[in-house]
Amino acid sequence: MKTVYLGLIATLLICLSGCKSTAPEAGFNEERASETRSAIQSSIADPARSAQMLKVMDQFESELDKIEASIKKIRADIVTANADYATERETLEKMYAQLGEQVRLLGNTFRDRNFELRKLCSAEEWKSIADQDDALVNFVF
Amino acid sequence: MIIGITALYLFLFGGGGSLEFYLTNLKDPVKEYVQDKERQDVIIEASKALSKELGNIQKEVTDQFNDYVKAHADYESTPEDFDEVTDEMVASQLKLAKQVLDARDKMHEQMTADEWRAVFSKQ
Repeated sequence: MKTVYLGLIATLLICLSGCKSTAPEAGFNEERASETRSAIQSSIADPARSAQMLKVMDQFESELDKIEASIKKIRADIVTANADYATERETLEKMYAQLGEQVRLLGNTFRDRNFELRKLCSAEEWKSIADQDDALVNFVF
Repeated sequence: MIIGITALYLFLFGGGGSLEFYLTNLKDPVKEYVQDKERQDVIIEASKALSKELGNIQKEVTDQFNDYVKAHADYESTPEDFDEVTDEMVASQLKLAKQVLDARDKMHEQMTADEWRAVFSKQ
């Protein structure tokens, strides 16, 4: 199953960056993220722990919104700078370095919220949530 | 949780509205606005080569994302497991930036300021 969705991710990546002449939108999918909340609610029987985990998800989604806004701004700035013939490589290198910072920030955010959530549940509960996450990835692609 | 980061990684590593996207979709505007065929061919060739290089990076990133998914699902994984993938992702992003800017330099050498403006004003 994982092979299937990884193949689909690769296809989508290729299409997004090199195949089409129109510019598709990309970004944080809030509707899908809300289904991760459902996975927590259905996997955690204890209301107090479920509420705590949903609070972590609130924080995670808020952080993703900020990262998405930063990425969009940097991307737009790169496209604008590129359109100017006089823009030097160093200027664009600095902008791409800012995107690299977002890659690290996103990885660190994902790691930190993952461990916060895991502390609040058992291995079995976590497996149930992660399995539903996995199924959502398949569904989205 | 995975869904939220999937979309953002797609966005970080190219797609609509990105310079990578525009540099790999130049064929029509280059044919319209660059005056001679020899220069057109050099630019279009650079664009095709960039597409191929980006395809290789995208395969790398897909593998790295798979490692994130594994670390996410494994209750026993450690912060270092995540950090290792993040370091690889950052390295891939740096590689992507270098390849994009190398391609841009090649295209830039072949176009006048007016041609450049015309080609990129279409995007």
